[in-house]
Amino acid sequence: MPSPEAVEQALTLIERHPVNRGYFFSKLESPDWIAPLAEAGFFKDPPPRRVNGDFVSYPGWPESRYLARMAPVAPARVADVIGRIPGTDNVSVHEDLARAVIHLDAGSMARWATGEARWISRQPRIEHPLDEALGAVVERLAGDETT
Amino acid sequence: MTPGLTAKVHEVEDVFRDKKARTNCHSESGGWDGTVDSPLRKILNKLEDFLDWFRSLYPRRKDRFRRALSRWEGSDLGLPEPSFEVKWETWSEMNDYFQGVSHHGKPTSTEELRNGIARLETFLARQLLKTSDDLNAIDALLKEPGNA
Repeated sequence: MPSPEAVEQALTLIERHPVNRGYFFSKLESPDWIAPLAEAGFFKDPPPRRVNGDFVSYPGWPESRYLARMAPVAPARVADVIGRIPGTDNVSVHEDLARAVIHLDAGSMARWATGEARWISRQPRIEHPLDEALGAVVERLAGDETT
Repeated sequence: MTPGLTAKVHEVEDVFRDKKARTNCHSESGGWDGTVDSPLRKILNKLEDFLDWFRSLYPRRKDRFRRALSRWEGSDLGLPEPSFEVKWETWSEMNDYFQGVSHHGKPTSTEELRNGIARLETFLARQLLKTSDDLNAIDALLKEPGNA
């Protein structure tokens, strides 16, 4: 578990520049940072999609990528955080979360999938690679007798 | 306004054809031979000027990369050659991968693409921003016991 001093140092570095933030989360390999980072206010503000004229882009969210990597090793902790992430129109974040939830317990996955189904129903189309990630969730749900 | 490539090539061609007809170093039967004389010297000088001009406007990829690195480093000195070669090799690998996937049908996977993008992001972050000390500090922090 990182010490309070280590967390403080990390926050100082992260807040100095967006690149630092992305780099920090990309290098994190321990789920022990989830709780202190959540307490510090992370995992609450996914970036919205960006529209520039006819072009739409979906910026990556370092936090959701981190959660997707941690889900296989710390599903309960990831489930707790994912359950509190607000809705977003950012497809990239949806993909990360879909890749994360297939590692969670059936109940957590089903709760996420219920909200996700509502979001999907409002989308004109679902494109690759989100379709692949959602397909894995559907497959997992269909194969689980408790859901 | 900088003359276009076509105009420049025409300039070289005019000099080449005119001086070739005048030089003693060329004949229809024997081709090119002999000691460099004034007309041939003018051809060679014109050709050298053209190639210098061409390189300045259309540098090779490695030269462009060297210039970009130099600007990013904020110094005209450039990197020591071994360091430059390491960066060039890394950049070339990434370039070959993205060019291959984008334009030449190279097979890839979502995971491989993500890794490629992450590698590129890290490379650019270290080059473009004066945050390399911060990134090193992050590396050091995450290597401490209990933090990894």
